[in-house]
Amino acid sequence: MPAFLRRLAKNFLLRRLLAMFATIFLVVTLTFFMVRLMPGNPIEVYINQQMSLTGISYQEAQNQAASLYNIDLTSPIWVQWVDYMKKMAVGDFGYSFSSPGTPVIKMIVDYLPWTIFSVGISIFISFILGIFMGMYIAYKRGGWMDHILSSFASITSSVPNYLVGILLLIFFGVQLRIIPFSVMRGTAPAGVEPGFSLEYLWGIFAHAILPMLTYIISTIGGWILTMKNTTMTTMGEDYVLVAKARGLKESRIIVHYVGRNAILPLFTTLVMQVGLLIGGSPLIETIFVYKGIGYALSNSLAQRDYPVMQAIFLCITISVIFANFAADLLYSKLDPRIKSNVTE
Amino acid sequence: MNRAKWIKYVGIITLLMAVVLVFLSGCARETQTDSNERVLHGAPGIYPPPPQGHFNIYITNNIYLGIYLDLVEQTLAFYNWPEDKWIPLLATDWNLDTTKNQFVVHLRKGVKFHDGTDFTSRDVVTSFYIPYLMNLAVWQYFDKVEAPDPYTVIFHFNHPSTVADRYILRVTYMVADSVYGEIAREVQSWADEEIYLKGLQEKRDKGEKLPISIEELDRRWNKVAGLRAKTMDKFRSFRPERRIGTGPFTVDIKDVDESQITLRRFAGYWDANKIQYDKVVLYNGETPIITPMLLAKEIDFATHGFPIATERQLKKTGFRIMRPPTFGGAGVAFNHDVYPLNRKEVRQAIAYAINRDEVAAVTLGEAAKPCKFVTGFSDTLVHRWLKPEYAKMLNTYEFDTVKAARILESIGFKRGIDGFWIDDKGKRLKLKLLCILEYADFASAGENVSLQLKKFGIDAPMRAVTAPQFPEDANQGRFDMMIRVWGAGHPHPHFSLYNDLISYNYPMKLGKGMNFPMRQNVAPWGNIDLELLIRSSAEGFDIEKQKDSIGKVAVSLNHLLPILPLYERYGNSPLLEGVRVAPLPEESPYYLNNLYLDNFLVLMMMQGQLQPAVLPGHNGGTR
Amino acid sequence: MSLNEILQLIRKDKVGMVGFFVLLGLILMSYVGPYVIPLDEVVRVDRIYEAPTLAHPLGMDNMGRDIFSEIVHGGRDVLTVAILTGVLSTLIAFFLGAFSGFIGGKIDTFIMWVVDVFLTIPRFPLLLVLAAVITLDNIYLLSGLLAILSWPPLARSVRSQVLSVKTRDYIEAAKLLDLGTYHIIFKEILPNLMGYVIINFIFSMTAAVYSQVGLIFLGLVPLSGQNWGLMIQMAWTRGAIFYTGSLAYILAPIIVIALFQWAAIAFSRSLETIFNPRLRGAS
Repeated sequence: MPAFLRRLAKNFLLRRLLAMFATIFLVVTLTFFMVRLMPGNPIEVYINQQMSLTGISYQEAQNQAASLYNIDLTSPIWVQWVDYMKKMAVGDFGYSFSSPGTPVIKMIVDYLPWTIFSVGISIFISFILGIFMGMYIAYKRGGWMDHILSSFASITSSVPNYLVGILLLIFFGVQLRIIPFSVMRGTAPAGVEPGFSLEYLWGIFAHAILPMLTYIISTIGGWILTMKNTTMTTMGEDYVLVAKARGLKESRIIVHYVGRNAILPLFTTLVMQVGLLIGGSPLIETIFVYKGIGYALSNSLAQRDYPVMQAIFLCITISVIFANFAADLLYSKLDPRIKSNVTE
Repeated sequence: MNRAKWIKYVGIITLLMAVVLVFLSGCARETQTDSNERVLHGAPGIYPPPPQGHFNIYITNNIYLGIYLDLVEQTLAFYNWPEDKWIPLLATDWNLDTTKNQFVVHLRKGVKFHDGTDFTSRDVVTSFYIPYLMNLAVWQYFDKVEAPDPYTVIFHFNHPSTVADRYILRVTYMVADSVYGEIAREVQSWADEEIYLKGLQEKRDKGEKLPISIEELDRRWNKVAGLRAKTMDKFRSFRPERRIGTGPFTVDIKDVDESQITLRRFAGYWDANKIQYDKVVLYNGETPIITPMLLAKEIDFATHGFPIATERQLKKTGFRIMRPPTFGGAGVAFNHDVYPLNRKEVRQAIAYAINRDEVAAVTLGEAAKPCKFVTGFSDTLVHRWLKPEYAKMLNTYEFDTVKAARILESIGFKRGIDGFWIDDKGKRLKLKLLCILEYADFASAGENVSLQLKKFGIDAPMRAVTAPQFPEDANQGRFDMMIRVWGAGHPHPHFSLYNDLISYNYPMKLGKGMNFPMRQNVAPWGNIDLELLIRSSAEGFDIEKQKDSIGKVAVSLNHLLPILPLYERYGNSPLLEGVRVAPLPEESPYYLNNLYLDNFLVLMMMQGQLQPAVLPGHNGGTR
Repeated sequence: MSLNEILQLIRKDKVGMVGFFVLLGLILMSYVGPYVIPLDEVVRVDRIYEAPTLAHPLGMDNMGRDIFSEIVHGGRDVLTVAILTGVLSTLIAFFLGAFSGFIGGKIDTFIMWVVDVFLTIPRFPLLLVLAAVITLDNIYLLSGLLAILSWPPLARSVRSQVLSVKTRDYIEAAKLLDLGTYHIIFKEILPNLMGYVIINFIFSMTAAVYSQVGLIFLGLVPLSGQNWGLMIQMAWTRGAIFYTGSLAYILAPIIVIALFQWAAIAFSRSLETIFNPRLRGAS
């Protein structure tokens, strides 16, 4: 019997992995064609730029581009696709079109950590603050705190995050001038050697504050509202009422009975968000000149730098798919009903 | 409810907020690390940071320095636009020998590069052969550059032109032989052969007799192409560590990040006593990214185009607004495949129906000057380039809706009951106006033109698309009317006219575009070929002949109106005086230099006219 | 639950009531307002960015036109897209989610895989491509596109709702009676999820507002005419946010949009208390 169960589990995992692989394959193929269908291609972008900058003829600009870009955009698209897939299979992302000689993988390694750092911390802070506030107003429903926080939450979650970023900049940076954002632009303090020195760590944190603040403000509302809802739903559950009737300590009920169960549904959303936010935010990172993956994406989009765009989309796809997978696993691990079934 | 618990949570939150605030104040301290360094804060536009960004200035994605490039690398001379005079820089003098078809340049002695090597004719030759490899436009005019002695360079013309001097003296930047020499040698090893063969190919295309057999030509041509490809492959991934120039400031890749570039003073600069600054910090970013930094007075000068609202706030903040010309602006272009826009009367009626003063006022305010002469090049060039007999043929299309209506009625158009015009075929006029969404001035111009035409009775809804999509739509002719650029940043009208009539039109071979026929019957000259006239307008050394070509094209454009120039854009560049920069003189001819091409600020810096502001309690100019 | 009871509950929840009236007001303004207040199309060069006055409560825009009239005229498209997208995406999500959850097996696996794929396709280039291929210049196409892009997450959560309802006794009973899939989904399961449906409809409406404004802001939807999203976009490229005199130009559309979102969410919260009796007991 145990052997059979194990085989089944393995089988389930295998099936799941296969489905994930199929998804990645499909999405990578779709993005491959999508980026090539976008209006304009890297050579055209370059030619148009040169013609308007220097007033040279199309023929000349094309000559320049031909010598400059050692890329193949003329062979049939499916040949390009097969070539791309072959290289992908061995982990070769190729070189950037617009910066010939710069490997795409080097760019990803350079940009991705900053996004993970800034977005990771803000998701964490926003989640923690959000669930506490949500729980608090669920208990104090109808109080003034409830009205203030709920309104704040629904307003901040309805204003697009790039506008939040700009308003922060204008309000704190220009009007009140309490944020010295000229030195806070970028990802790392200028002239400080990277390493585990306190100065450097301090510096990179300070540089990430504005994007983080923006992410936190624009996502915290969602957590507050959802947490408030799930808390109120859980408060009405039988086991909570029973626990109350048994005269258990209130703090114990809040933490173990209500809190735990109310957070559960939020965990899956949290994991999904982590997956989605690997992509960073092109707009936020551009506003704060923060060298994350979103910044790289918006630049490569403008230049139609296909290999870079594809690599970034691949990162996003993989992280979303694995986050999905993790969310499923987590859900079955965390749900007490499923757990109790196993232990009983 | 456990009150203590909640107090604890509130405590945690307060603590977190406090941490954030402490960090913020920590950053604030960073700014106060003040020394007596004299620093200038500029904004060159947008550049790619490393790892894509690099210092091979000929390859895409190099680190763009904008107008500040002149502080690192220099050209042979600078140009004074309003007075049409050259200001010698790395060259001391030069002369054009029209009999020998040569341009001879004498170089300044005692100039050093940032790496300590001397600047000689060898560097100049290198600086011209790398552009040869890159097929840059400078090589349209000559076939050989040679250095008879260390301080003389001779350019041999094969296509003589009066515009070549600007390419030699100002467009081509001098790079170090110690960096690019090896590649340049390689280019020189096959360039002569390639130029020779190109000449033969031209003869062959014309059907002339060749001195060598066609088989040999093909064989030698393939060999050269192979050599070129080999050099190009090497050059494409060539990444110099530093950007070695002769300018007053140096730049190191370590001083470049996504936020800013720091230029540092070069002690060995040949004119060092004129330079009053120790550092120049350049901030990365497009207009909306740079604007808050300006408003916080962190940037002293910016050349971006600013919308009216921003300009007003900048003025309010205490900036002085500088208005150097750009020699170009926005215009309405017509698709000649669309009836009735292919009738010149309709285009002329539209020209009368649009109040260009209003377009200028709502798009850029004082920074936009409505086009007066409607020639396709800057109004400031008209007196210099248009002979009186041509100038008096120009129509200025003063705003006059009555006249516009009369023109339409004269060709059988009628107003419908809703007030909109119906053409002679009985169709109500509905013309889509294409424009670029992100360019505030173009989008505003489009919206205003659309409103004005609606008032006149032509339904012209605006279709705004993103900048990367625009050229495609424009070249493929997917528009009825469009808001596009006219003019070009060059003191010779040839470039403006080329841009007006050839780009976004079929001769560009990118698509039909406006599809405006280049062969036209224009009174009093009869059948003329505008393309031929434009191409010949910069050829040779005979200015009078050029003026005739230019006059004919300008008058044709004025009468036929394939494109209606609306306004000429002037800069609205904010300059912050009294913080890091001492107030500049009220007037200077340099303020009339082109905003981007021979910018007054860098010129004044190099001539020692840009002084750090002296603040009480400081020796230098930082805050 | 009687109508009387519902009214009473709405009255009890003051915030919800305010939300309801704000929502009603915005809808009235957007659909009826344009017939009362004409759109100001007169360019006044000397009145660019004029400060608010009694006649022009929001001041003047970049061409000296009345901002208030633009706000009145700019709502209809935004709200129509929101409502259409909400209806469409809720319909698709409920149909596919309920079907998938109820049938189970291979079809379920397949539908959920499609949901996964949909969720992982990078939005940005997809929209760029779509915007280039099909010119998204009418609001019906836009609503359709937004609906197609926004149903997957809802479908997934509907499916899990159905899964939990499925095991309830009355469904089991219906199955035993062999009432048929259609009957069970639409007659037995759906009515039980009605509250959930309405609330999610409101949520997908707010999401549609958010994403359509984002799309317009990025220039992916070449809409013309009056539209709050377009107003934000225009005001932003025109630097309105940086000039104290033109703040109303950019803040007015942002504020009406935020107001709409807030009102919708506040109203949906009070609906939640109506449909979910547990929430009532808690306070």
